[in-house]
Amino acid sequence: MLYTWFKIFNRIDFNALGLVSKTYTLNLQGIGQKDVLVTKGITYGITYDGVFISVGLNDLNPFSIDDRAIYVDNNNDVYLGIAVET
Amino acid sequence: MLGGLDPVIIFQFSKLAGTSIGSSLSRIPVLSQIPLAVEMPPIPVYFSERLFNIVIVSAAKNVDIETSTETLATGKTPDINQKGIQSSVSINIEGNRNSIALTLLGSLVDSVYDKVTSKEYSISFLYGSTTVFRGVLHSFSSETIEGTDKLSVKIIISKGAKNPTKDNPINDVPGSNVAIPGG
Repeated sequence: MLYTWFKIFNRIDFNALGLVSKTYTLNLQGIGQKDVLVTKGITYGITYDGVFISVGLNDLNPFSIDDRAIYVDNNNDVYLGIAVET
Repeated sequence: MLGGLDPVIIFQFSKLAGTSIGSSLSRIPVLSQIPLAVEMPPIPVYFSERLFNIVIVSAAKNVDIETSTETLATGKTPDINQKGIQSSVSINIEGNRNSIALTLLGSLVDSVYDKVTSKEYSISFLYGSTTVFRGVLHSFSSETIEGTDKLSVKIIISKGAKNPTKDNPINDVPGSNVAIPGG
C-alpha cells in the first residue's frame, strides 16, 4: 500500500511542551485543514479522523492499519501516512 | 456631566497586527515592544440633550463577587474564598428615535458585535464619578416607548482588561509519496 506522508510533530519538541496531549491544526496538502490530536503515554499516538494509531506498535515502524500509517524517523519526526491507493 | 462636559461613551476599535508586521518591526533594534494591535481613531458619542436629544436617565455601577465560606474541622475562624464575577456599569438612556447619536450608537454596537471574539475593541464611558476605561460590552438593548417618539436604550459595560491575541497561523504540511519518509 502506498501512503502520502505528512510530518505532524517532533517528539523532542512535543516533550518540551510538557503536555500530555495537543491538537495540531494543519493544512494537509491535497486534503485540507485537519485537526490531529497528538497524545503522549507509554508511547506517542495520533488521532486522525477518529482513528488512533500509535508509534511503534507491535515493534513495527512504520506501523500501519487499514488506510493509516505512522512512522518515526531518526530525527524523532513523526509522520502520518494516509493511503493513496489500495 | 464631567467637568461641565456631556457624558460620553467612546468606542475604540483596533486591528490585530499581522505576523509580517511583527517580523519586520522586530528587526528594529531600539523597539522595546512589538505592538499586538493597531489602534484606530476613537469614536466618541456624546449623550447631549441639547445637541442630540438624548439624555441619561440613570447610570448604576454593580460589582459581583462570588464568596464562599469554608468552615474548618478545627473549629477555627472559617476561610473565605472569593472570586470576581463582574464589575459593570449599567446605563439607561432615553432619546428621540430620530436622534443621530442613537443611530450611531446602534451601528457602533453592531460593529462591536462582530469583534467580541477577536477582542478588537474597547469601550470607555465617562459620566461623573461613574467611569469605565477600556471596558467591554456586556449587553445592549433598545425599545420604543409606547405612545411617544422616544427610544429607551440600556447598555451594560463590563470592566476588565483584555488582550487581543493573534491566532496561530495554520501550517501547510506538504505530503510526500515515498515508501519511508524523512531521513
